[in-house]
Amino acid sequence: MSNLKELKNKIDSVKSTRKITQAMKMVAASKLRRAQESAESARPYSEKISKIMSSLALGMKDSDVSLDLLLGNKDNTTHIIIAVTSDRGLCGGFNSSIVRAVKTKAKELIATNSEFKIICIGKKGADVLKGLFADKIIISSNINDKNSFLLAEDISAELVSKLDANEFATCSVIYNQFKSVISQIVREQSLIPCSIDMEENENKQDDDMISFEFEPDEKEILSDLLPKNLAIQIYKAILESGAGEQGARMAAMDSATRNAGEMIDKLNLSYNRQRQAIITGELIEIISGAEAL
Amino acid sequence: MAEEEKLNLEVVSPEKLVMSKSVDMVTISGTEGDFGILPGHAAIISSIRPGLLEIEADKAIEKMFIGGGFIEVLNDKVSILATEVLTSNDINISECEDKINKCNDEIGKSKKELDKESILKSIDKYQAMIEFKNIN
Repeated sequence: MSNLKELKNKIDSVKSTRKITQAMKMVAASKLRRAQESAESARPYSEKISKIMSSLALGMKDSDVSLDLLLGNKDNTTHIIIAVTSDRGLCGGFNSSIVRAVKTKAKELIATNSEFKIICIGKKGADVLKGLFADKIIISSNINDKNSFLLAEDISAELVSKLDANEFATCSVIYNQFKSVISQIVREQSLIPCSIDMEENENKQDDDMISFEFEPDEKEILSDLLPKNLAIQIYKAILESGAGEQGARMAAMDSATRNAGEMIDKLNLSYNRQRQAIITGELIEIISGAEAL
Repeated sequence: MAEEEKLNLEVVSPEKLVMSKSVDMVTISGTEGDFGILPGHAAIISSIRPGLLEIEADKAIEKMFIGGGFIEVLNDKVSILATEVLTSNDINISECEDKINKCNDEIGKSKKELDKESILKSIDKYQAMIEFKNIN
């Protein structure tokens, strides 16, 4: 009898879990729409800025102006990894895949005897990475939806001042790129030296004859443009990861809801079976009792 | 110049694509002076100081405030990367004056040369905003 009650309790608890996961899925779906919109509306600017960057870089080929922000610092081997994760959990393998990518990257860097430092954006990644590379983390900050552009600007300002102080050579960002609701791709993008799209470059080859006029000169524009580009690329990474997070959570919660449903079905079946067995047992008792009379 | 030649203008801010259309002429305030762009302009990349952006399309002139950024002209394609895009309605003169006062206060306090530079830049921006509002 007690077994039957236990089963009943279990069914109830799974049912309420299903309600929670269902609600979380719906919340994620509505947040996803907003996050996707902001990620998409930021795209034209970042595309344009990288286009200008590539035209500038092409124009710079012949001149011997070299800026650390564009090419990286050659006197140092320290690499900075920016890991973009989410503030909240329950989104499947979203954060752990970033942590894994950071670990692989760190191993690579250790194998080549290079120093590395980590900047964590997002609480979840910071929590795990703190346990692994506590002494390597220089900045860890949470994502606040309202000021993610300010956050990106702060980090880029920090990077610029560190580069000026000759504290590191190269920098890359690792984040989840939003591809679709069910798939996020872990991407590593090099920020310093500045990564310039190969496709872009190939297209440019055709009209290589065009040389831009610069006003004021290249160097001044570049020194203005590069920090902005840095902030924009970090901002883009944060937005993409934000949209990816909601997508990942939606998918995770969807499968959790489905699993809960399956579990309830199974539990119901064994509950009914047991109830039937008890009734049958009682009937047999009554009948055999009547026969004995 | 043939009359049907047009410029392809795109104005983008970090948040969104503000405008994308074909226009006859664009006048903008570059860091080294204002300049106008007509179809057939040479390829140029320039930085922009806070100021007026004038767009002429079909004999109508549209005016906007640009809070700095960059412009690229290539093959009659004009791309403006603006840090901020405002119209006359978005600007409030008393608010700008408040901000200028605040900046002036801060400039006394800050010691770093870099900070001062950025504060001076924002004062310039607010002054340009007031100027823009007064004209329009």
